[in-house]
Amino acid sequence: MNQVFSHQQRRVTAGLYLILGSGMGLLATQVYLAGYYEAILLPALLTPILLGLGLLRWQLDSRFRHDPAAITALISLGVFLLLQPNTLSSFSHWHFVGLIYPLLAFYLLPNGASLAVSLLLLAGLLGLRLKNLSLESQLIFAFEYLLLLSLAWFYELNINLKTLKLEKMTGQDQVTGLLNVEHLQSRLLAEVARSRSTQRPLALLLIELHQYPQVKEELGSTSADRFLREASELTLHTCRTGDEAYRLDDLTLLLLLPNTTINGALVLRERLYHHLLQEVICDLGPLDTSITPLVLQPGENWQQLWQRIGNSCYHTLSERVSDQLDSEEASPQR
Amino acid sequence: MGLAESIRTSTWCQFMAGCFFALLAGWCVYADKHTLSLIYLSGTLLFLVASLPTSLIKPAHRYRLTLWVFCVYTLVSLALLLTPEHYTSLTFLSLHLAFPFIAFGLLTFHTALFFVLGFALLANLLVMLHLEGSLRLTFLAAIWLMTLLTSIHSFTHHLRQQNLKELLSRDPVTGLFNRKQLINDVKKEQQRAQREATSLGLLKLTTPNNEPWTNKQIQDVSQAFAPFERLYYFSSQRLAVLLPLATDTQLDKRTQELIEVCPDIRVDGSLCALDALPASLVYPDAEQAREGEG
Repeated sequence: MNQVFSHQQRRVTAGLYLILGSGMGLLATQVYLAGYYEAILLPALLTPILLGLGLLRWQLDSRFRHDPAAITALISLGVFLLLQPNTLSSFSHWHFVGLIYPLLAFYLLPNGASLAVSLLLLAGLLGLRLKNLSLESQLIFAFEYLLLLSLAWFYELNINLKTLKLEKMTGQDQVTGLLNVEHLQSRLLAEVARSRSTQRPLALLLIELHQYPQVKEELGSTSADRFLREASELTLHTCRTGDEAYRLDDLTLLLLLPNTTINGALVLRERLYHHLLQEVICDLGPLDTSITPLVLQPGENWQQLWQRIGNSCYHTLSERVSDQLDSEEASPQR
Repeated sequence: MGLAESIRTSTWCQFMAGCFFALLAGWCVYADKHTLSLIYLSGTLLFLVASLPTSLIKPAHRYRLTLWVFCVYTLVSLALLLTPEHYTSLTFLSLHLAFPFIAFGLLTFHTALFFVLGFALLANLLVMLHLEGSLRLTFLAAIWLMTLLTSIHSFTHHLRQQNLKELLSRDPVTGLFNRKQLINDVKKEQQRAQREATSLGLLKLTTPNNEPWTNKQIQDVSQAFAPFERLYYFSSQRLAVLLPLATDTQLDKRTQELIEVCPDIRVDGSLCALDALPASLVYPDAEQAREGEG
């Protein structure tokens, strides 16, 4: 579902670049026909750039949170608004176009980045293009620009928050489709209570995919998510009836194994390890994974087990060691 | 809520939008542009109403009030587009480009879409009467670009929200697990009970006179169960509790305990068969109709 959603978004964004590119092309033609040759450079230069970005986004998805195509398009538009010679009579009120900029920025980039580029453009407009206007006109322009910026910010944040709230309430991780951490916490509380009440064992398997951050950094979030999805699907197919799979953090999956002893967990661990090694393909080389079995200890409550889960992850080991060293250094000083 | 956390919510940008509307309204009044000040005043009022806390006004009432104020805002915007003086300043004219952002930000998708498309059509007609040349082309292209972009963007989010609503495992109001989750959990617990050779009980709790459950009642009831005995929201009048490991004797005991905690509620308990879903879960409406006839 997430993929279909991003696919639709991508096509709409590509359409926007194509519209902007066509607009620039039309402007270049108009400037050419009108004989304002000094104003032809930027529209003629930006037309192929924007059309190229449109075609690129139509075919390929961005690997990054801040889409480089969006940044390029916004920088191109910003440069156009700041440097385009003011020779056309129809563009005597050209700064009106500048007021659309924050609305486009919030559509193309995440909130923080769009705020930054919009404010930069405002500063540029006030410093370069509107300096001849009276102070009053400059202030009115700035307030109107900031009003549009805050309205676009409000819209984007509001719509994202609604979606995020629903995502949280589904109890599912959007990438893997496994149950999420909130669900795990409530389930762990229930399973620990049940295990203590029935005197039956409870085991867990922590599956860490150590290459996930590297794949994300080098090949982008789409490849990293695909890698994680493959691993989680295999984990789900390998576990037994009654076992539950969760996504604990970015690179860790957790299998909750009710009524399972340490021996049962070790058998499942071996089976899962071999399946992962044989079937999951990582673009960066042989799979680097560790699977840690844990068993509920007698007298242990769910908070203690939760803490032990956190302390058993290999990828947080260096952080935990440095925290401990810091606390040890701080304690003699006291 | 800390400062950093509040920035991630819509509170700050709502406050900022309200402030800029108020500031520009003040300036318009000062500059004797009284007609123009009306749109900024209605914008200020709109964000003021939308940010009213739920302790003061129920969310449903707040939404209705927001809708009314938004109608006023739309009418003022259209009235302004009728007047030729409004076209003298393109800075003020640009506010109409943000109309879809306000509509989709504050209203539900279908209502907002109705307003946005209606406004874009009327604005198009009015702008064609008052502007000319490439300026008219630029303004119309901008207004339709914004309208289409925001509508498509909102539509994709709306579709996603609809899909997510179908995947919800909890009831949004009470926060309890919902009927879909109950059916999934019953299937899982049946398999587990077969594997572990135990039984499975199901309690149905109904309020007297079929009144909706209150938060206080839900809290009282939830305290009577162990953490592994989950409480589910079945309908506004009915809750269900799944009791793994329950036997007939335990079910009777639990029913008595519950009646002691909440004397008004009706409790129906039964052991579930382990090879099929209980009919009351699969056909809840049929069971309720039969009870009504009874």
